Amino acid sequence: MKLERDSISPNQFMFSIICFMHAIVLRSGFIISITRQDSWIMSITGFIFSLLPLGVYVALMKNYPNKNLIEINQAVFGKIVGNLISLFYLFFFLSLAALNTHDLGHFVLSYMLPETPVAIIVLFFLGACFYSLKKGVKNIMHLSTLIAFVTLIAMIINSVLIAKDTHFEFIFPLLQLEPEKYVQGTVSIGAVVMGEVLVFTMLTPMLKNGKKVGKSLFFGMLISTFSSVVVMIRNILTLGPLVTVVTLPTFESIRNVSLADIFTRLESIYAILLVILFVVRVSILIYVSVLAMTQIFSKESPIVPELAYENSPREKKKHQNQPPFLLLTTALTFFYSLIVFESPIENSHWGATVAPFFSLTFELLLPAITLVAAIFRKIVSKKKEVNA
Amino acid sequence: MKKLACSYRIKRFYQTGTKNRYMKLFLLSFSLVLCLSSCWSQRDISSLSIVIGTALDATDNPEELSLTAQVVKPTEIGSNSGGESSSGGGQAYVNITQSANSMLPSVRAMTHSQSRKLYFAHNEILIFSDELAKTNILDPMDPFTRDYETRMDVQMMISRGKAAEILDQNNELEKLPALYISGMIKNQKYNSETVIVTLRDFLIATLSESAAPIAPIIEIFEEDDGNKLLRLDGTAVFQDGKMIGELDQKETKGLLFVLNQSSAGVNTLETPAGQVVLETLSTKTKLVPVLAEDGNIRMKVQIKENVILQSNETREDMTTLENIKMLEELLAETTRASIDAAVKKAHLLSADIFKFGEAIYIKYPKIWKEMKDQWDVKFSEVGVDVEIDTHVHASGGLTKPILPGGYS
Repeated sequence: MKLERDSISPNQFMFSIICFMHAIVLRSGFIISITRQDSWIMSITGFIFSLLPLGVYVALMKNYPNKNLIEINQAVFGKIVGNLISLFYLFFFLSLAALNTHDLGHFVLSYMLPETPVAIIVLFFLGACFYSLKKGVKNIMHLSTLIAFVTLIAMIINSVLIAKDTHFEFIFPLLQLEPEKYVQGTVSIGAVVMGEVLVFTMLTPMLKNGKKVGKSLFFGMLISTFSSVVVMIRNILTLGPLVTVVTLPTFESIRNVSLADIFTRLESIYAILLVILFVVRVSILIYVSVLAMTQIFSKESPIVPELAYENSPREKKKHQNQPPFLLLTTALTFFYSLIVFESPIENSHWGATVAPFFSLTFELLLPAITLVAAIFRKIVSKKKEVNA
Repeated sequence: MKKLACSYRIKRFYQTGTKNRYMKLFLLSFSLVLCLSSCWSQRDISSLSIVIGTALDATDNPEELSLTAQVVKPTEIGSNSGGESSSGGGQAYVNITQSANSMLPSVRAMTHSQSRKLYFAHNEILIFSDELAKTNILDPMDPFTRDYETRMDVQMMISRGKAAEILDQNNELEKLPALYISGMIKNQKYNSETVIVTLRDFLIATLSESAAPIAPIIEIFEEDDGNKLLRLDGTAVFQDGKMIGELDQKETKGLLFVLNQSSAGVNTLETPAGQVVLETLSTKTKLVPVLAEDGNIRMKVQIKENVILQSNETREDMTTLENIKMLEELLAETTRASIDAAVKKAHLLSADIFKFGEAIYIKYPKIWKEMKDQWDVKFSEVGVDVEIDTHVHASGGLTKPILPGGYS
């Protein structure tokens, strides 16, 4: 599979980040069960926390412009050690793809098709991801602008329609829980939700204007934070203390929309949007896994400038249609997603306890080590130059 | 010639890979047919019993409860009213009753005797008998909240006597008693003498650290001529998942004032000159906890009430400034009396139906943390100061009453 350089504009990149984040932001139940009516504040502090890993990524990309994470690893640590470290990332991306597929499968299972085996749901879902990736990840990135707008508009419409059933006093009193809960909430949102922006550091060579990567990442995360604050406040104002006991607060909150007996049962719109957002999210995750796999195991870099194919469209088509590991990775995601958790209960327990540490290892620890090594390497090479 | 063209087309079809495309299209359409018909989790409407009302009763066996589901008979809906349709059925509904040790087992047990599976997504009302409510209301409520088929916006109420009998009370206006009751509940906002409580409201109050959940009471009322009618009368008060007492209509009116849910209603005032009726246009209530110097907390209830003169049954002109002032004072007195009655009953029951605890938690979180463990006791000690600001807005289409002989 060839990845075309310079094919995505910074805005498209930003909107695909928003779509990617939205998929998880809409399902923020496990944070709300920890920090209750203050969870919307955790979205903001979580965003601030995630600026730390973001800073590391931007610093790495500044040192190695137009290179993605795997290439940076190879450049910093050399081919063998770099690839060994990259294997950890590959594991992380694949795990995320499987976890998200599992989440989606169980969402459809419990709310829409209770009697259908989860494997069938996941199979069709991954079929859609596979098809869209086969047509090129570029198209998903282009389409994400539209999807992000539709999602944001749906969020606003839902919030307006539910406005008459909200109770403002549910949000008070502010910050009355134990401080360690706020730390847990901040780290959870920062690591599990926001930190996953790491995935996009794999796609940076696709950007038309490589200098704007940091800006796109930052604003993508900022807009996602804003919408997650709106969604969380809406959920808290409509459900009050119920918000901490229901499985999917957003779903339950939208279920309550009832305007003049005409606008009712809007949760189906939410469900459809969620499925579309998850297609974008999992497609990006699978693509990133495929890319990492190709880069680790192939001799040549699969990333080529778009111009390379200008004179031979047939060659271009051939390469786009024959991604070497795409089918393999999709199949791997399929089986991995089926065995990753026994039940959604196990999943949510993991989400609240282990997930932040699991994510932080890949999102902060490994990139930080790479950055330190990169800086060290630079200093050493400079000294060598001076000595020479 | 025609044959030639045809064979050419077939040849082209095979040559240019169109066949491949058609194959793809065919496979795609076929898989869409398979997916979109959702055969796997299909539920045909002909195999479902659509439930529009549910009643839960206690049984002689304390371990069991009895569930009555009102199911629509679609064939009777379109027929003539009055139950004497040509299709011979009569009633447009069937009430199915089943006893079991819990809610879900009784729903499943119905499949032993029914041809269709109960479908709760369109359930409008949920009635608990007072007998059941006095022992335990939360356990049977759990499946109604947990299951995705049921919705939390169903109207909740408590029945005096058997809940199943309420669902069997025919009326002349509606074919389905459950829809009649749900319409009745929606009408209550015009009198502000009955609380309107959905399952969601009840659960939110149950989950609160301080508030006592409430629900309206429904009963069968017999008129002098023996005619039986349904009537909403009073409010049931809960504590720890059990019904612990009732408020009458006047106390409920006071409660709605404090809860800022009194939207409309009529107030009949006895003036020295005769009877005057005022209609409430809007009411706004503010609860302000005040920390007194002795460290105790008092609740200040500030009410703003806007009314219009709706009926003047006296011979006096009630639109003079003095009379308007007199009416405003009389109205404030009536409102105060209903609030006092509600506060007295709530203190008697030691149940925070007014959500005072939540107001204190918001304004004085530290003090609340100290007092929340003994809130049952402390609530009865909280003094209530009521400030009422009434305002007669207009006198309707008349300025003076209609006097025989006129004003010459």
